[in-house]
Amino acid sequence: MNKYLKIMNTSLQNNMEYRFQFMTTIICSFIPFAVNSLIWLSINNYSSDLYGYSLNEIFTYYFIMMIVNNLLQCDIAYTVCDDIRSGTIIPYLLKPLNYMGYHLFNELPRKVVFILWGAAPTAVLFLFIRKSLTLSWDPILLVQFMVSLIIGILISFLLYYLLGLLAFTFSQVGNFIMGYGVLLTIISGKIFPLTLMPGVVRRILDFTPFQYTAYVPVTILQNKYDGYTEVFGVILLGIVWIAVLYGICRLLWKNGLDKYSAFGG
Amino acid sequence: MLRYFNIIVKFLKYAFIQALEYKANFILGGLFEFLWVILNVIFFKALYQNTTSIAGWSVDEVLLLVFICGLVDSVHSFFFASGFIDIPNLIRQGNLDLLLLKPINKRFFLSFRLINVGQILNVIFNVVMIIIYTNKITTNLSLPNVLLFILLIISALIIVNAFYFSLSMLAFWVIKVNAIIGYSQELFTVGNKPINVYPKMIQKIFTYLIPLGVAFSYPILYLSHKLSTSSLIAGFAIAVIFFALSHVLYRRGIKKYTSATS
Amino acid sequence: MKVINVKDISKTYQYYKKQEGIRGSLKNLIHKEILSKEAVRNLSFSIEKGDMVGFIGMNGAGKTTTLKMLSGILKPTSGEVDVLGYNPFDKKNDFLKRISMVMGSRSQLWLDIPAIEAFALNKEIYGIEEKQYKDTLDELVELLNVGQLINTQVRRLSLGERMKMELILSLLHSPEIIFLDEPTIGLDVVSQNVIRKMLKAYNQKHNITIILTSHNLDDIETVCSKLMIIDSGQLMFNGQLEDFIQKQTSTKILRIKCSRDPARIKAVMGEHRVEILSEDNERMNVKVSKESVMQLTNILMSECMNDIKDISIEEADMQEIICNLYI
Repeated sequence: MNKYLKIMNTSLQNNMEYRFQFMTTIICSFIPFAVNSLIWLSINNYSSDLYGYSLNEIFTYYFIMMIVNNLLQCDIAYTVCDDIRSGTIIPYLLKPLNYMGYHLFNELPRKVVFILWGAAPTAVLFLFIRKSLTLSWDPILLVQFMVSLIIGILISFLLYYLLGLLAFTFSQVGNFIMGYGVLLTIISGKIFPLTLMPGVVRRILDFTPFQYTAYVPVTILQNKYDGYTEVFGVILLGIVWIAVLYGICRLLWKNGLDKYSAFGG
Repeated sequence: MLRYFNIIVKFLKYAFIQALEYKANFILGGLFEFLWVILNVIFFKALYQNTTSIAGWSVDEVLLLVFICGLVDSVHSFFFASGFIDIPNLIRQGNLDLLLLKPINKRFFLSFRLINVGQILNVIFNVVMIIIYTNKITTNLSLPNVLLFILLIISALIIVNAFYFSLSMLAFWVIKVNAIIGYSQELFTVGNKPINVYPKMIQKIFTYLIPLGVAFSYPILYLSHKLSTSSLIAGFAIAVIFFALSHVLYRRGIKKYTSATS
Repeated sequence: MKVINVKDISKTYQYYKKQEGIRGSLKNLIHKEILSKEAVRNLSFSIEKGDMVGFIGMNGAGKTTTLKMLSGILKPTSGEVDVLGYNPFDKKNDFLKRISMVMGSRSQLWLDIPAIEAFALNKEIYGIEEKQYKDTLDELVELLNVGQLINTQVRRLSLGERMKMELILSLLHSPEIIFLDEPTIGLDVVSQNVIRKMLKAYNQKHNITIILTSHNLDDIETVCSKLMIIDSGQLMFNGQLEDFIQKQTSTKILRIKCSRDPARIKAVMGEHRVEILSEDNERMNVKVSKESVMQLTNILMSECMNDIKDISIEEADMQEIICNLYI
């Protein structure tokens, strides 16, 4: 376990160096929030009933989404993909280290740093717009939110790690990863609440892991689920997905290694 | 001149040869841009389920905006994107030197060098969609109308070209240009929405300072008769000025480069 | 006819002194300390049409900077450069069509495309006539013996073959002057040879002016007739290569192949002022002054006849001469 702590420590130090990058990313994330809010604001004859959200709830949706997105975003797909294709993964295979574990513990400090650098600007933004937001500080909601965030972090990580592992089989994973990123923004609810999806699509998406990277945490915090039972069900499904994705990753890893050693790098 | 046309043909030929080498890249190359267009279509279609107008724009107008953005994006990616992204490399590795000695317009060379043929499907798709949606918005278009519309789209291309070219020019001064280019993509997410969505101040910025609003919104506003003649002329003027500014930046950059390198 | 005329050119680079740490970066924000480095100082020379000039100097002496000023890549901080009647830095198209530059460490070729395609592109860029293009291409391909390789992807060519393609590319538009910056760097011996032969032959046939920098002194010795040595931005020598070798050395090298024990040979040489450069197995290289070399050889032949298998008298090694210059 010690070595993973060490990895986290190094990662923390490295990420602290990039404060300019973090700051800029965070400030940049304000833009989609503002743009999306403005678009909704311009909707003619807005009806809260038809859309299922009041305008303030929509602003809140995007505001929370901004924070959730900053915390959950994960860049590892390209790193893993490059490692595999260029062979730099080989030293990791020889180390008494779990490659996935290494990346996970490398990623976690990034979240910490995001919170560190993002707290102030986000708080400032919040102070400006809090009249238009409908945030609840119910402690139970907050706890549920935290749990869903953890699930979201893990699922987000596993999904991108999985994509990276596809490099064992496909040479053009880079394009897939980019395409997936775009697709994800829709099907995870990042661009608009999943409630706006047509019925069939919505029902399918409800069972996918993607919503946990955006829609689920936000919806929990906004108390838009039907009471504790529904929340519980959603969280349970999330945990199931973590297990499933983890299993798939293990499989891909094992298969990949077999193929890899066959080629000799 | 015919010479320049022949050279572009050669660049196209090379791009094809390379595309055949890396077939998968060729087919998937335009996937990202295509998905972006689809994403925006889905987004707006979802919003328009329960309304007929956003900031005075109808769903067809907004979708036309999406496809015009798509077209400009795919044409830019087809001809210029790869070449511009390579400019910081050329500067860093010193390969720009030999390029400067070619008896040909350097900006032309830098711009058309690396063509990305994978985008052709996107270009075709967006052109088709533009034709379809233009017809949805207005059915009696006279020839001058059509010409002005096309001209507006061309000026959108000029603005986007000047925008990205200026960003690559920063490589003469700043090492980490790629980060800057990355962040500037956010400006596009602002620019490719109906300009009327924004408060007046923002509209002004995206008309006069970063004329992405002119680029993307003006063609539709023109079709819907919401663009005054003075705005129309101003739009073209802004495109020309913006391009000229990018050229000034280019000249400065080259000057710095040729007086400094060792 | 003078094709290149350089008067008093200097090139000074300015750069900012970078400070360490955060304090340093903050200091930099307020006051940037500008330092300057003089790469080239008051250089003057001229080059005639058809000259084959070798340009040598240590790393950082100013060779490449000078070459870049001659070709127009860089502008001199002061002084005048006249190449074919033009100011190179203006980079007028008419000027660019009459010169060419090859840099050994940089490639103009696209990796995934056969060289012939790059040639075709150059044809368009330089506006070369179809017939002239074909003739020049055929001639160059033959001189460099690359035949079918021009249709192979550049990626699949060896370094030597790639350099040959670079040379063809740069000569297709029949320039009057060609600047070569380290053209043989990293190449195998055979390729180096072919390229040198080709440059000489091309110069013979077309009277092209060649200016060549190289760390490989064999290049200079084989190809060039004139020599310029630059050190710390200043011209140390400018003249015929032969003169240089003659003047610079007052010594010759005696290469002796001994049949057995060199003791007697050494004894003889001990009585004369010689310097043994190297000694191994049965070979010995000895540095002898020009005045005494013939006499020494005579003595060795008469007194050590049985100990000497072979003996030859050679000019001093170019490498050595240059090295001595800097000591």
